[in-house]
Amino acid sequence: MMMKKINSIIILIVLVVSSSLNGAKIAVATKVNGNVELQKVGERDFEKLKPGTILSDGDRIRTGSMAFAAVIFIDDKSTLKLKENSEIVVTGKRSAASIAKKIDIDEGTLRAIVTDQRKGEFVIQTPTSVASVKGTDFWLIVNESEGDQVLGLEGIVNLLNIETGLNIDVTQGNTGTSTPDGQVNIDETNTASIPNDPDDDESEESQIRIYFEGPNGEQKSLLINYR
Amino acid sequence: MLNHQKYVYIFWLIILVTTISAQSTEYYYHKNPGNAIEGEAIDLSIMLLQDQPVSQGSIYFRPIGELSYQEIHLLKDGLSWYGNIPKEQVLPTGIEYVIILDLPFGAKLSAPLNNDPFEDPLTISVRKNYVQKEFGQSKKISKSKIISDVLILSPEPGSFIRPEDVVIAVSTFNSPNIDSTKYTVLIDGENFSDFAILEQNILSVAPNELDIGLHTVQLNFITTYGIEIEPIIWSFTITKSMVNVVEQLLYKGNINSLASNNSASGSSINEAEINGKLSAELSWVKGRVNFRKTSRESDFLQPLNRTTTSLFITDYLKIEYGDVYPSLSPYIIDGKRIRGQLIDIHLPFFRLQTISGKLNETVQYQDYTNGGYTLLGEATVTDSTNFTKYFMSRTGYTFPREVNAVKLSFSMFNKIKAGLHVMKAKDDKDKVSKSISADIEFTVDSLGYGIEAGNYTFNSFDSAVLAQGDTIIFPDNNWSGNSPEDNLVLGFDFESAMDNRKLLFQMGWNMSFYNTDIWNDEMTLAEMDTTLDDSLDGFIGQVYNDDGSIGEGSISPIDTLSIPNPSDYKDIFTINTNMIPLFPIDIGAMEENKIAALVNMPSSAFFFRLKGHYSFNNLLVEYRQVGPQYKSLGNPYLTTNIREFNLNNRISVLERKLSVVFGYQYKDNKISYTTVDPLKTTKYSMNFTLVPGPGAPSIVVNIQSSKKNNEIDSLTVDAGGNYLSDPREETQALNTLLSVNLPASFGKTFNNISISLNSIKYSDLLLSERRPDYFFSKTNSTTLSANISSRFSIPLKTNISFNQTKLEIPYNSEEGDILIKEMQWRSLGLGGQYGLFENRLQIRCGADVLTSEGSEGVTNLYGGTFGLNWSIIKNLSLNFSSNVRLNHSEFLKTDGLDNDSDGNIDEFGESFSVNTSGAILTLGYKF
Repeated sequence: MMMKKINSIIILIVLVVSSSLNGAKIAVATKVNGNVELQKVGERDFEKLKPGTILSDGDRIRTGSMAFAAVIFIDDKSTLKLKENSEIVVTGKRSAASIAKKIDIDEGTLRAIVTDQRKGEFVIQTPTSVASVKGTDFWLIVNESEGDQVLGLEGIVNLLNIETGLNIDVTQGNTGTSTPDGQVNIDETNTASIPNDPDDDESEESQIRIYFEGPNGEQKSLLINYR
Repeated sequence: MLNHQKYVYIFWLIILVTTISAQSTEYYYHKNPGNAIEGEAIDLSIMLLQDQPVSQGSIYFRPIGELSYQEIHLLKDGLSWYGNIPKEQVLPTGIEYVIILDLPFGAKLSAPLNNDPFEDPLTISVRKNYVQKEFGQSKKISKSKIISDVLILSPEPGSFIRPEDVVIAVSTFNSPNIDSTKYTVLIDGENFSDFAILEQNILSVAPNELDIGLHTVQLNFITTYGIEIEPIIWSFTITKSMVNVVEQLLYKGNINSLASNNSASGSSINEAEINGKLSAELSWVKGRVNFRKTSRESDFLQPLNRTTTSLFITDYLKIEYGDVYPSLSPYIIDGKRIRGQLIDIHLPFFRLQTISGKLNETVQYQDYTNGGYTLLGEATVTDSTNFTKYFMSRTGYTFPREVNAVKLSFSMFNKIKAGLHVMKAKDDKDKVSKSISADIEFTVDSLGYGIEAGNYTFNSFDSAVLAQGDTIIFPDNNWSGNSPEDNLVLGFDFESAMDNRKLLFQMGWNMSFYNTDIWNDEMTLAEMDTTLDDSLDGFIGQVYNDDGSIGEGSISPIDTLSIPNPSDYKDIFTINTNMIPLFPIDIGAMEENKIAALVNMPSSAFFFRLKGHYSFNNLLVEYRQVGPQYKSLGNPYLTTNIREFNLNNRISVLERKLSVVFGYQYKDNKISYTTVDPLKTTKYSMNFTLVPGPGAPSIVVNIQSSKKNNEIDSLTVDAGGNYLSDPREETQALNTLLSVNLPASFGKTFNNISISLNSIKYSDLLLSERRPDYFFSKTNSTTLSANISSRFSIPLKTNISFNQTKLEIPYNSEEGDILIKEMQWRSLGLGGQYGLFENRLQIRCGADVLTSEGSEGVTNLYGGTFGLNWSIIKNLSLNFSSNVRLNHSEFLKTDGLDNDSDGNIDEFGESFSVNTSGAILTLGYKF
């Protein structure tokens, strides 16, 4: 009887532990070019990241030289694009309404396209700064020894330096910097310094509306969206 | 009386109707809106009266007469759950709806509260809206299926993608009632369900290669109630090559014109600018052009106009032309602008980056007095015959600085990387002319010598000198302006990744050769021979006694025949006596310790770095040294004469919500053997950063202790042993910071509140040994700042900021006492932005005041800003921003002086003055 109880407790603990290691599913890798690796939460080794892989809370992704990866969150379609030599940990706490997303990045370059229409809101933490974003499109270049650069493409990014607590709002067309010595600064973006997005398809959608009128005067319109 | 009774009846009627329409149970309160207007969204909410653990909630609704319900996911706000029925679905037939809240263990709570709410739904009658109806806007709903909020993640509907990028992914996160065990995935009608994974609301399929062309995906789901969901259907195109180049060409860009006026302290700058960007993409090739033309462009400054043309051919080749910002290494060039070209060939195992261009453009002279010519007054000589030689020189010029750099890198399986780099930068001294504009004047002071003091052009001065029978000596080189320079930097870097890249070892070494003056070109071997030992004997460093025998002062004589001739290398580097280093190795250090001398070569820079990512630790161990003579003209602001050791560990705990950083740093400037009184700094730091996630407060606590010591252990005394000064430094600075960032939503208002408190306190660790009159000059400071930024449901954003800084400045009083003076300034700023006409017009304004209290009295600085963004038509926008800042110093009205130079003393307006002002107008067009 006693052994049965112990066995039950052990099984329960194993179940609880294993369920906590297999984190909640929060995102999917939609594009993988070059050497991109995934370290699943709770595992020691990296494996090759394949397109279509469903990502869990706590998964680590790293890109090698000339590699690229795109990750889309499932609640609001917020997108992360990772350029070469980058490493991130994707965390997200699921609630009924949304996923509270937090990205830890030690080094590298990423683009975050955070949708505003839904619940898009997340936090990115680097060794130097914390960036809080909502309804934003921006590039983040992280260098552990030189600091961070946020290049705002759309919306607002709040960039907080964790050394001094200074923070700035980085807006469209501006570049915010946060350095390990505690300084934050904002300046106009030098457009030549914007990283090249291998997956750039942000050409704006245009519309053509064609009106038809029937023999009885009723009207109909045909709307064509194109890029 | 009758009227009174009527109101009482109406009141009770309202209460009765409200009570009937409200669904109040012991579990929740829900009010049925009862009526709605066609085409206007209906807000619904349900408030829990008991603390039920509701995991999610949905509204199921249908226009009356339809067979199926559509689902809307509810959002939580405290005890309430709310959502709305979209305006497109609010039809004159009326609405039937049911609210379902999911409880643990499959239990559900419904409004209406009965066993089968779908059989007896709540209803809302809808009034026809004749005004707002727009033809073709309502959506046809299938009569047998419900529409669910399934999000297409990939590929985008209508997108063109490559065969290897095909991933089909949708999210059912917002439709939690979808049955994850029953679904079908059809691609062009073929069933791919067996290849699909549906896990926790994500459906993902990575089909094997699909054919080139248009493909249609159809996903069929059912709800957990067994109701079919309207199929999700979309199409995309797989393409490998361009069928029609014109159709596949994607382009975009913008062009902006800007006019601005800025004034500060009475001087004003007007500027006009036009800038733009055009990027075009054609499958594997992308091009980009950026440009800026400004009215500030001048022949007397380095270029302010910018043009960059970039071409990207797949990921393997990048060519940039114009103003480029290469970054090869922090030790040679790291983002400094070059006008020229950059080529980057980046293959999987090999990378070649080349740069050629100019770091500086030619500037012949400056457009002001003495900006082109100067008379070297001290050099003027008059001989015994009263014949005077005037020496002239050139000023105000900048030599064009040509730069060429190459970096060659190799990579092996992401485990080993190595690279070699070299950069050559040299001023072209022939590009600056001796003769410049005849209008440029220079000053002749009252030297005497018969020339009247005043401003002269070269011709007028030449005439005056000739009239006196004197002469002007004007050399062709060695002018008094900047000397032409030459720089050669070379080095390598190396990286080794171990333990599956969890441990990285990186190192790099660089050596610079810098010539501060190449007016006289390279030395000959004969000049080298005589540079050190004064005798042309074929040996460098050999000295002789009077009798011709070799003297004892000879330092390892070098046969000039055994060394290369500098002229053979003049295209690589100019070797002469102005080069740094003259000898790469510190000879004094060589005698002490040969290895140390090699490591500490004053023109070298190197680093070793070890980075580890293990478990929750991010470890960094780094040693870095930049010699005092290290110089790269590609990165002229690199801090030199520094060596530092860093040890840092960042530990992430509580599911990465809390990171704790422990740091140690040692830094000094004792690289050179001969450094006197080196300054060393030791720093210990601890940082706690709590970032629970979005919407939660983040807290930063930072404690840093920094000690400085200049290794001097004695007082300065005069010859008689009397105390002069105490140059010893052993101080400690304690820097503490607390910063809280608090996002807070009140209803539909989103606020971000940040509060930060920072204190820096200095202490003298030699205080007990100091004389009573020792003056410890460090200033303590305390800063408190708070900021509240808010976004409202109406298109209004506001920002309120407060800052207070207090300084404790030590000073010597007239009586010689050491006192502390407190200085304090506070600032308060308010700003806001409001959107009109569906946010097409955004108006911004702000005001701020800064008060500083000093020894003279109180000074206020009042600032105001105003601006607007106007989206005139689609893609065409106008932006205006302006600011003004006024000084107000009340004490200026009582100081008995005419501070504003208007002839009146201490009048009313004297206390005000304009500090700065500016206005910028920008017109932009996107295409």
